[in-house]
Amino acid sequence: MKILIVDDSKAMRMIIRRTLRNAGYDKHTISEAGNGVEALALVRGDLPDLILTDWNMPEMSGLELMTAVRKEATTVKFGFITTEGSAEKVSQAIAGGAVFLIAKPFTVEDFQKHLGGLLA
Amino acid sequence: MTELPSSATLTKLVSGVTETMFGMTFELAAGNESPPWKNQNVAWRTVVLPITGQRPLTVAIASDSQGGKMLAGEMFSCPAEEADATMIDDALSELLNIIAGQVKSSMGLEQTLGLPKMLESETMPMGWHSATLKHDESAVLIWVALNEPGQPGSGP
Repeated sequence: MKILIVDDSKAMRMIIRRTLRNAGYDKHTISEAGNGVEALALVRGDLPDLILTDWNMPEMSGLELMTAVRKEATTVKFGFITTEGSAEKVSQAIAGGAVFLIAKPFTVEDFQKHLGGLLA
Repeated sequence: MTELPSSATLTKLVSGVTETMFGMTFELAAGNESPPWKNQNVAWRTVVLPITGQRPLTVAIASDSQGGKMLAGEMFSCPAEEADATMIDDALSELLNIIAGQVKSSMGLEQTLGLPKMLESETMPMGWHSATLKHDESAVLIWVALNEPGQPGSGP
């Protein structure tokens, strides 16, 4: 499976990679983007199976990215990894077509709980 | 109206984040009432992040060079001495982002987090509701603070 990690923090992208590995999901192809605009360009070049995106980012938010990708490719699954973990944001994400929302700070167990069905 | 988190609560929130993300805990430092850079001729890196909405707040985090390198090293999984200024700014910004989310939740605020912004050293915030934290017995310090416009003790 091809996974695209989208977060404006390089440190967080590394932590997400590390957590995926520690959760046992180290056999997947992972790429990264630093914002929604960069992610959209990558998606157009090579469609991922799953996008793990932050919510708040400069230039284009994760929600805007999901809407833009959905217009072009409906098969891509979306999951949010964000500090915006309120019930309202979860509802907004799910209504927009996201499969899950993981709140920061997260644990390996959080990844296994939300990603187990997709990546195991 | 919910009060701003106490120094002890801020410490718990920050330490909870760092422990969950990379197994590092913090406790309140002695003399935590004063900004730790006071009377020190050292450069601190400071990041601020607004929480916008009905009750606007600004959250800040600052660290000295040693603290910034240590945090960046943990977050980037590299030796602290290899962490450069860009990595330190990135690590502090992301840490602040998560801490701000915890502050927002702890106060029951349904508001929006803004984006983090680095401050230059000459504009270090003063008079904010703050706590200075230390990691174990080391000299590593970080400073976290909240500012609510119009409240007693709030900064300029």
